[in-house]
Amino acid sequence: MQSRSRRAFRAFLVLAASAVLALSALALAQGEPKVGGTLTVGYHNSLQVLDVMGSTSTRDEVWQLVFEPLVTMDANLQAVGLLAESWSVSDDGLAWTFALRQGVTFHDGQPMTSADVIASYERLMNVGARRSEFRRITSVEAPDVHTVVFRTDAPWGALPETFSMPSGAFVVHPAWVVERLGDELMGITDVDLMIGTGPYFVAEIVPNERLVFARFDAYTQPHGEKSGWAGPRGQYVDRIVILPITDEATRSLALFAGEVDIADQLAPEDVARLNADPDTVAAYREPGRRTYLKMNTQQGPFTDPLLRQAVQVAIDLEAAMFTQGPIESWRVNPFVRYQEGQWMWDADVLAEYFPADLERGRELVAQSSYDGELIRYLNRPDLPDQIRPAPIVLELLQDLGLNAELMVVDGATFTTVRRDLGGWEIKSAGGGSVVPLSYLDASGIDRNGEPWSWVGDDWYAQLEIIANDLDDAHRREAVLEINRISAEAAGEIWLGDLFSVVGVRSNVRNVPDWHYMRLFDVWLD
Amino acid sequence: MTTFVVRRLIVTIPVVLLVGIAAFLLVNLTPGDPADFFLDPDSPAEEVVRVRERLGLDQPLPVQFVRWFGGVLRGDLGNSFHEKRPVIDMFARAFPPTIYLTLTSLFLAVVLAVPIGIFSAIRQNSVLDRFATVFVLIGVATPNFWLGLLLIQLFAVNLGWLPAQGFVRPEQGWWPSLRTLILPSIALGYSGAALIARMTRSGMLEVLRQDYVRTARAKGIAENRVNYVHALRNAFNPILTVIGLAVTSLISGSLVVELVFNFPGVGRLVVDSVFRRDYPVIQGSLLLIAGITIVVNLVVDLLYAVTDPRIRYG
Repeated sequence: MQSRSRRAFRAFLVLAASAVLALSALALAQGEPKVGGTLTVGYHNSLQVLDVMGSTSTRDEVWQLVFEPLVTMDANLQAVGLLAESWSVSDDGLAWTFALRQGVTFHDGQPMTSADVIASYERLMNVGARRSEFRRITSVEAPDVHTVVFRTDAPWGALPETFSMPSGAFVVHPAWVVERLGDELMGITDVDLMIGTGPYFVAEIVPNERLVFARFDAYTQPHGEKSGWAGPRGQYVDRIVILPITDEATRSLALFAGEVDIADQLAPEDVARLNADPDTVAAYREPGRRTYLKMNTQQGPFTDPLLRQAVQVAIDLEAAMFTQGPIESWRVNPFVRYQEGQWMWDADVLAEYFPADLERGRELVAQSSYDGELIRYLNRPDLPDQIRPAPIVLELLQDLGLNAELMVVDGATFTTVRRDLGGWEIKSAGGGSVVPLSYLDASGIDRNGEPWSWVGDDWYAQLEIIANDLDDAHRREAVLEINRISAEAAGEIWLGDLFSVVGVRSNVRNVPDWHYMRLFDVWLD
Repeated sequence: MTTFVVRRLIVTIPVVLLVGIAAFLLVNLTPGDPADFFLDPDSPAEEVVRVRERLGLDQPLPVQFVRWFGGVLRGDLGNSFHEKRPVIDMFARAFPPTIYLTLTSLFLAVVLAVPIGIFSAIRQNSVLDRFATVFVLIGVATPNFWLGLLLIQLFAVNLGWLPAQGFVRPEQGWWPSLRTLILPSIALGYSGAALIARMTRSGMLEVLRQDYVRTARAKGIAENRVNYVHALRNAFNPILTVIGLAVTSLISGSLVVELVFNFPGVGRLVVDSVFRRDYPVIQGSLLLIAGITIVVNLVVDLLYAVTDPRIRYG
């Protein structure tokens, strides 16, 4: 009864919040686009790296102002051409031919050609942070200045998606920049080498103080509909200034003081205050981020699948997610990696695996080989998404009769301890929610290049379909099957999705409330 | 005096060496791998090895130390792992804001605290003394980051008088620059002011009870002259020591205040670098802060001789 009333109350709150957000979104989107002005963004990250190819630490909404890939992702995570006009695959599935968009120029005024694409690909394979994911490509050639052909050793259906990946992205640099950089990454002050084809160019970078981007007047607009990172790019404001303000409270205060037009990643608790102030409004970035638990399946008590399943059947996902803040800022989602609205997602496929049944969990613990060993629950305080559910999860482990304790270390220590399989039994984890399907391919290997032992051969058979099959219907079915296999093996428990809060001044228009903060589409009233 | 200074400077050589070794070991033995910040969590081990090679972390620790410290002796602190530019250039950019912040905080602290301490000692147990005690207690008990947020809320958001964050360099205009310094200086300087006021009061009280002060009064010397010439001068050395200590604590306090006010100084540089395990920047920062501490201590020691003629260095 109590649960029902709680659900009813929650449904009411969700409806109310949705209405407020819908009105806010409407307010933000209304009006005719205006050209001019400077958009100032209070940004959560220090932005010490802008070399998107060489590092996974760059931020999509920033590098996408300057650099562009051949292929990008739409809001549905499907690959769409950006610098590529179109592509086709040969009948044997081994040759992918990309026709480049004509008339595209770099910020230095030179036209983009197939030679630049090949040079950039060679740089990717030299210094790329994700170069190992491109290993199936055996050669690349340019039949003419507007065509590039990538050859693979076997059919690889995930090639366009892999090209569209925003983290460690395959962007196109001018060939001369590639030559100048050699084996080096681009430094944050190498403004003269930050030449791309994007809608804005780098005007000034003062490390730790500001990044200034100015409109690129010779930009040639991509075709198609705006969706995710795909489609035309607005270019309404003259300049975009990004101020790295790493303290969340200061970012929020700078917005209220009118020093920034947009402040990203604010606390969910700020929403009420932002909406109460006539000069500001809150928007959510959906889907946002994922949070999950990972059990050590290679050493220690969680090598026993019964013990892993005990945690899985007992956990109350909603209770764990309640710790994340107001209910409109999160949703429960145990689906591995992907989110509602993304083309391979399915709400029902995992429902039976998470009954929140503590008694059943205790029975499974009793049946398992667990003998009172210490369970270290590794966590980090610098990522609130990951530390917030910790008390609930710890209590669950202890209620199951496990000898569990919380081990909290700083972020850098966390990454080192995580690699030592003798150093933890269960840990918090998180991830971005905008990764193409091919990302699963990278997920299935451990740090030593070995396949995950806990999922079994069938998981990898499905992965082969995801990576190689050229039919998306087959690939989607394989994703659902991988979810079922993962839930049976219970090595990871995906808790849900978190939505970032973005604070916006009321004169800012056209801020999308989706995951992509398309700064180039914003205009100022 | 010259001999004393030269001797002290010679002593700093082993100190700097020890600080260098300690900084290097501290940074390299702390868990956390800089390579992780360039790669995805699931990146294969060979990619981690490749990035470690690129950063020069594949060499044995003694080799890395000799390479780094050899550079330090030549004035080269190495390159930042993340920004790919010389650490010395990063300091050249980050050091002035921190110095401005520290000096204005120190100025505010001394200008406010010394008179408060003197008056509350002269008028012990008066209403003014009680106000001063409350001032000191609040200053000691208030975390400077919290005070900073309150100041931003009041003066930037509610009143709109001063900027909420950031720093304008003096070359862009002295008044805009000063405006960006006021709130962080108050947030940083208040706790130092409280400490200095407390020490000034207790130092003055001790001196005011001395026989020579009573003698001076008995000889009919004016009260102000007794207080400000006879008493204050003799109470000043302990105050000077506290001011010296306050300088170093202001520098360490700036780590937090610079974050709150988004101040592009050494404090924020250090905090960012620690989180990213940017070894060359952390090591360089530790050396720099140690160097400042040594210099400040030397200056305070020299000032003792100025304020107290009985002290002679030779």
